[in-house]
Amino acid sequence: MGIGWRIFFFIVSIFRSRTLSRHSIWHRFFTLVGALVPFHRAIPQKPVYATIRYAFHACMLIVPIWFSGHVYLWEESRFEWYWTPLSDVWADWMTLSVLAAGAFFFARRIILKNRLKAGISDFLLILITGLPFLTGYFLTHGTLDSIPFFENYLWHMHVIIGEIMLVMIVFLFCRTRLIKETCVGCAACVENCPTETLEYYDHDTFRYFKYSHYQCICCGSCVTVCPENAATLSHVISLKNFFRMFSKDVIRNVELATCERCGITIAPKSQMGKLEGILSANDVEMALLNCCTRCRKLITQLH
Amino acid sequence: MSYVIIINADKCSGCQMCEVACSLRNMKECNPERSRIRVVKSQLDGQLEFVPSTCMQCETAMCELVCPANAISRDTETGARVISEKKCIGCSSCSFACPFGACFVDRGLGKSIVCSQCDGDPTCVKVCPSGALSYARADQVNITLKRGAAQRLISAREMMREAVETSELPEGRDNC
Repeated sequence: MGIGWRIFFFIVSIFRSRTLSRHSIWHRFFTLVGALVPFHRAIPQKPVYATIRYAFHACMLIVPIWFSGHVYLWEESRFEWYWTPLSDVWADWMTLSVLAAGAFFFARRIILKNRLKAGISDFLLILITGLPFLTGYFLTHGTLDSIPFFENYLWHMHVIIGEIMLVMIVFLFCRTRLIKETCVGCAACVENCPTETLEYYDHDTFRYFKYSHYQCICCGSCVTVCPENAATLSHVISLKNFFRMFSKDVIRNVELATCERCGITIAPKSQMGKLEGILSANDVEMALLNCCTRCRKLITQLH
Repeated sequence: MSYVIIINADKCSGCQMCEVACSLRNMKECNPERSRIRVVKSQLDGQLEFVPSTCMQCETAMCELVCPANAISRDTETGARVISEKKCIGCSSCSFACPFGACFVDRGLGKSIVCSQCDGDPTCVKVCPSGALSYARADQVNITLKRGAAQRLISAREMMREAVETSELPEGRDNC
């Protein structure tokens, strides 16, 4: 039910923003498909990590649906559905690869704790995803049958933790983060977002970035386009976001520089600082960097 | 050989024909907001002044230096700066680095746009009724600018002579 709710409001929010957007609905569709198909732009950047990620997600989806034991359960149920199950050898290998990849992600989170800013929910997420596969593997092979407690209750544990995982999927969001230290607020991610999930507005001397959880299709446009590598996509479990279908969160604000002559806001201060750095590194002096474009035109063309 | 669009701000009457023509040719709509040449209106001492401004084809281009996606390059035929629409990510770094405020991120495209000199045949120069815009080779610019300055000096002298004869000082902006 929760998943149905998510899908319904996802579609509604996507169509709702259509009138404002310059991107057509087909462009959105193709971006979504392009993000789902492996071997796109993420592969050359991080070949090992991207391959493991794809394998992990694919196996995680295939094993629970096509595992022979699950298919027989569906057949016995009152729906009497049946589809060709996966061979047990394949299912075994896929489960093992899910577990190995899960362990890899877990270790990666621990080692790169400072860079990834991993919280408790990140570890919990991997644990909850990995445990049904672990218990399932032990169930089919009977490794732990010698211990009486596990012999009796492993079955229940598998079902309960599987249910917890299914419930968690409902509250699992994949969201964009703009890392505070590196983001300069240039809004390239906003310009390239196909669904208008990211938006910005300038108010007073600050620029605010807004993000809506339901519109995001996790296509990764913002990640690939960001010149500072400041945008990241990460999983987040949130009960609150589930009920915020149309509201937008302010995820970042940057201070804007103002024109020396007329006092209107021009660009984020951090971006201007970066430009100044590049120009001085190339031995180019920039006299009008603190002026707005209109004042620049007036000064350069009149004198 | 590179060419530049020379702007003579004193001659501009502020009719904004160049803006209309530019947006019609390059954006296929009549919208001066999306034009690559802009006429800025300014009021100095109660007198209106119109200043057309567009890409000046700098020798060391700041936009090219700061572009994080390496989208800006020189056209081999006309020598004009062109922004590759595929590579551009719309971060507007170039518009903040440009000393003339010439390139800007178009809200409709989400990409940065700059004067491409209409592939060697600038529309703004063709439609300009007052002769404020002209198109010349980059190595002849200095001569043209010097000629313009000399002419302004001559006309200012003549005005001063007339003013002395009629004992009246000319009004308006300094002409010399």
